[in-house]
Amino acid sequence: MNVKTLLILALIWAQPAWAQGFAGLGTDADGFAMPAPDPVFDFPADHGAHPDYRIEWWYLTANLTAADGTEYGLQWTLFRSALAPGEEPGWQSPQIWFAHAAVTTPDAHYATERFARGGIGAAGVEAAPFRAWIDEWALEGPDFDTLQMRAAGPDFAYDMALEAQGPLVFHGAGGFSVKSEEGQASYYYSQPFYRITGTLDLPDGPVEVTGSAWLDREWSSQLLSARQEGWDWFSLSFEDGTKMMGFQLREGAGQAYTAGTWITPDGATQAFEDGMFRSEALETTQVAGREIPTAWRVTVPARGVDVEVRAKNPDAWMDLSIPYWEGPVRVTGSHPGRGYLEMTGYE
Amino acid sequence: MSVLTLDDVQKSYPSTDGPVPVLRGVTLSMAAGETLALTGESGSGKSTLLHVAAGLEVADGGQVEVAGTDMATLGDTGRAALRRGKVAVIFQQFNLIPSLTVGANIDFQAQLAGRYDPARSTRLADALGLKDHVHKYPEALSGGQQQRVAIARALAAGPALLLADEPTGNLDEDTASAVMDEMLELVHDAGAALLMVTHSPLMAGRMGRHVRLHSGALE
Amino acid sequence: MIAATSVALASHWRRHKLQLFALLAGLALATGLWAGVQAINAEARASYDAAAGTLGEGQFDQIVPRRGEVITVDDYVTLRRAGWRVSPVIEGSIGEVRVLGLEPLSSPGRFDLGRVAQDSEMDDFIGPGLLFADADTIARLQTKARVIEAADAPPNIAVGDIGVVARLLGRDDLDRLLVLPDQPLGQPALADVAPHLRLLPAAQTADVGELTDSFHLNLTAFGLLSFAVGLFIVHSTIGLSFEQRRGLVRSLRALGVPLRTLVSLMAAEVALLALLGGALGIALGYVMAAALLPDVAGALRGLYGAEVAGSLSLRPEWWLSGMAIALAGSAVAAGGKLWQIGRMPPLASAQPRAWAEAARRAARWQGMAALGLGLAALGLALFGTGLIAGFVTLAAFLIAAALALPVIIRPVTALAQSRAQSPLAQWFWADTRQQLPGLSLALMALLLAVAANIGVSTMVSSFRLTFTAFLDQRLAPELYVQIEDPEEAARLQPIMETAADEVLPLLRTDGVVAGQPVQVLGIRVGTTYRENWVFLDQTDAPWDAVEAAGAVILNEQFARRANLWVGDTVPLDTPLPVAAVVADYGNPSGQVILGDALFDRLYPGTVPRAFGLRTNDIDALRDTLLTAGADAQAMTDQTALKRFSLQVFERTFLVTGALNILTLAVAGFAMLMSLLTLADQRVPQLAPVWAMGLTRASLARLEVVRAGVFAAIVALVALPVGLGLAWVLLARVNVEAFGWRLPMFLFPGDYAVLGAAALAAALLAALWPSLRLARLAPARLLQVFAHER
Repeated sequence: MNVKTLLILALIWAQPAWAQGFAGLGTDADGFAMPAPDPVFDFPADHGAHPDYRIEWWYLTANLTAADGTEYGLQWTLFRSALAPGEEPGWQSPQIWFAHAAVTTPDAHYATERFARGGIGAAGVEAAPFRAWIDEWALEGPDFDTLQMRAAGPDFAYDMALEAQGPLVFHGAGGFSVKSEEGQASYYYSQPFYRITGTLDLPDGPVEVTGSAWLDREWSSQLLSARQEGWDWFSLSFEDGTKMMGFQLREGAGQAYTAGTWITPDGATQAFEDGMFRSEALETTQVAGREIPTAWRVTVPARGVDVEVRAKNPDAWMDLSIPYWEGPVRVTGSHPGRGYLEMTGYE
Repeated sequence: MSVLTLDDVQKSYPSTDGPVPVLRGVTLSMAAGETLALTGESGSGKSTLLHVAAGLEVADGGQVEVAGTDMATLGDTGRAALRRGKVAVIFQQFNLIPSLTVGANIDFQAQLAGRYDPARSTRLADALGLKDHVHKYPEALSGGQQQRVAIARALAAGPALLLADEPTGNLDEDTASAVMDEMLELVHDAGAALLMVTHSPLMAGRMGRHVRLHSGALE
Repeated sequence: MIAATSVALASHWRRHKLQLFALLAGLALATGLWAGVQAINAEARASYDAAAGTLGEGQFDQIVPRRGEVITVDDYVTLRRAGWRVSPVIEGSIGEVRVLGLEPLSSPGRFDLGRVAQDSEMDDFIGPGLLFADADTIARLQTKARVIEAADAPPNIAVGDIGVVARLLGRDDLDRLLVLPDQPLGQPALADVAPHLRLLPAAQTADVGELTDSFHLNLTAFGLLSFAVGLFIVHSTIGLSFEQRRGLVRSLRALGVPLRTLVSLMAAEVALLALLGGALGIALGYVMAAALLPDVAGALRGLYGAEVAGSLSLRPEWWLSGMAIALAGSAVAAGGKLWQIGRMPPLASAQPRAWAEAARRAARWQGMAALGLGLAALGLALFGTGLIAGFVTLAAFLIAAALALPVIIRPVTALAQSRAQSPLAQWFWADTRQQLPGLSLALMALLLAVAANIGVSTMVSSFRLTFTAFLDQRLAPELYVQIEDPEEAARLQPIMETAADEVLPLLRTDGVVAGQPVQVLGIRVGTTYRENWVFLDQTDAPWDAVEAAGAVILNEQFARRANLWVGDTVPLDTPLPVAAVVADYGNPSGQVILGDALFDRLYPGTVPRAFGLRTNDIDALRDTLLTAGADAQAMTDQTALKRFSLQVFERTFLVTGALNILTLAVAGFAMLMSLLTLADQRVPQLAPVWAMGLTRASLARLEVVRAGVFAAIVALVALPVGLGLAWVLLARVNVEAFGWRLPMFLFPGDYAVLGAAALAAALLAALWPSLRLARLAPARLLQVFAHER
């Protein structure tokens, strides 16, 4: 393990405990601001960075289709992680930025990452006009509803335009999303209604694609409880226009804390209490030397949801400094559709 | 003239229980041309007596004189010179130098003593039936032949005193008898004195004189 | 049964403690030399990697400012935002310690702090201003900043976060940007993003690597030879222990121990001993390497101008290879014997075969094997290609020489015996010949050791002579000035022409000649070139022809690749004859050297990229040029460079010299052990001579003389073998590995010293056994003749 990986682990999660699961996420948050219930958001300012909180992300995933019907997945994520609360100029800035970009094709998965220091302008997020960037990667536009997005790696690149087709959606209690029975929580809202068009530059040549994208905004200082080992996060878009976000935070011995949000086509929401959203691994695939569940049964009895969620490409392994699985999924059963799945903490 | 004179010779070997006496005052004299058989049971000190006489070992007490030279006046080098010049020893086995041919073995001591006489060497080899073997190495010879080579070698140097320790002990009876005959004849021709250790009454009987050693002293 | 059999087998070692010691010591010495050399190599490479990895030198392209410009943090950000993946570096010094600032998030380095830095300290790398350095550096570093000890930190460098170091140095600009190997798609050209910066390709920053590789290759070859020398000890002691236990094996089999069990147990025993000896050897190698490493570090520091840690860590690659080679060596030594035992009928005679017959048969076999291997080596040397062939040649040649040794000594002793006048001399030679089988392995080891020493010192000395001449040739101009652009050339050239004694503009362009990519150089032929250049081959007046644009000079690399030599013509615009071929060390590229007039005609408009200046007063000339606006960084004092480079070889010599002594010591030890193990067998051979009137002291003296005679013969045989070894190393291995052939020089004085050393080693080895013989109790000698033995 080189210094960079150690630094990332140490700096972002306060101690390099990732290897033992996500135990370090829940430790004390001295000096950092803590999310509180009943938030009042201030837009567009809250689209920007919150340097007083330890961790924050702008997390976009998209299901794309080419003219020939081939389906693709796309990810663009910018993370902010603070060594200490607040911002300082130049090299003294305690803010660290890193980003992941990926494209999943039916038979390949391209992923790359970037790291940058805050304070010198190599990366950052500004609220209005909205601009999130690291190096030449950017997610920017006159406002949060109209964005251009680009990223590039050694073997792929993309350039996309995003147009919001619905309102922002707030998870948990008005954007206060509880993560454990002990009360760990984050501020969490999404824009799940982007229509997306653009070009994927792949080794076989450029591909014009269209589809839908889902952007998550989340920030906190103490995200997980010490018992929690990792999470399985689902964002599903059903063919009838409804959408559903659900996650389970695994606590070992088959125990998990779950939460979710039911989103109607016009953006109305219902938050799921712990236990309402259920996910159960059906199949695992050997990926990067690990057993990764790549087919799930997801049920929400209260909403009559009983679907099978299956990875479009089981090899969607993010082989980066922090490795995890993230890729597009197909949904069949009571509510057919498509979506994205993220799984962390599998050893 | 006395070739070998032993006077009250003492010799003991160290052991864990203190010195063990092997020779307890042996007195003996041999004249030139005399043949003497030395017998005695195992451990009686026969071989030690022979070794002391040859200067291979040094007596603890008493006097050893070989061809008029008192051993006590000699160091290691002097004793070695005496062995080269006046004495020849024949052992029961391993007398020969394995890296030299039979011929070279016969000549070796004579050359060391500076008394090499090719005619004498040839005569000895012929007499002992070794004519056809001089170019062979000792290992190619039978035991009897090897002992014949040892005898030839000993006599080739023209020693005043020939010491033999069971020279036929490793040979079968017939061969032993033949070798003995040849040796006695040659010793007689050379005019050397012969002291032979043996436990065979038969062999002892063929010598001019016979002494018996018991617990380190002559009977 | 297994336990009982094991006890019976092991009892041999209780009774023959010396043999056990010889076996373990032999294994330990062989493994030790090998492991030691490996350790030096591994450590030197790892240290260099650590340094290069941290500094980003040599392996990454770099972005540096053009003359008079600086790199700002904004430049860094601008480049990144344009899609250039770069990482900033800032460096300076605090006192005598170099301080290096890195940006850990973007750095491509492999600097591993993880092992030493604690979790809490990792947090602090960026934040509160920590530096990391090894213990030596910390002791010398005068700073208020907190310094954390990091064992893997490169030597004499304190490393810290770029922000921390910038603050310590009071700087707000950057020194350079490392360009990461993976760059994203769609990246714009550097000139479009930051025209005031320029890209320095990695290839230009590391061009003496070949010399270091040659040095490593040299050491590796030496390590293998040393191991072979040690292996002879193992071979002879294992052989002896098996031979002496034939009777035991027969008895055990008669008692009903299955053959398979017996062979397995003996194999296990050898493996156990090999592990034990190998472990001892690794400890020994570690000590040896630790003692030698400062010299090696010095040598490499000289070669690279980069730092190598003077300390050592236990790296698995060399201790594992040491263990493996100890096991393999023992297996080779024991394999044949075990096979013999496997085929031995249960009631075969336990008597060793008659020596003369066995020796004659062995000599015949060895002679034939030596002849076959010798022919194979000759064939490979003449017709083989490739580095592997070079090493196989080496191996075949050395084994052939070793096998031939007894075959050579035997007639020599026979001749001496036939010429000998005195009986003692005759016996001495006959006995010497008889000793040969027992000592031949030790003598072969001595032969290999002396030959290796002759070979390696010839190679290193030739290397030094050649390289000194090369430095004199290439670094003849006292001052070397690099030029950035035509304007600067135009501005500075007139000033140089007046200030320097001789100005040597160097025109350079890349081209393709005879299908090979080459550097085409244009030079102004003058006294400097005429006086200093030495050619491998040349026509009568090469410089006149080059000056008159009627011929070209090729460097050796190009001459070999294109197979163009003096007498051939080079296809330029018109075919031109080759006037000379010049040796070019430490440069992988092919070069075609033209007179400047011809160069102008072929490549019009090219301006000189560098000038060599002759002067008696370097400082004055440098000041003049500085005043005229030349960049201090672009001027090189070649006199100092030359001095520095030569120091490298002095250090190389120290290491080689130490290894020479060690190898001879091992060979001497092999001889000592052989003599000691033979001592018991010697008693029956010596007893009759003693009984016939030689003192023990004179026998002992003869034993020493015999060792001296053996050593003298071995040294004489070793001379051609060593020279052959050197020839293969210089003319075959080096050509295959690096593309140039080193001329071979002879150093008779050195060989005399080595011969004397071999003699001394043998005499020393014979001393102890001889003293034992001189003091041997007569009773022990008399026992030989005793009735019951």
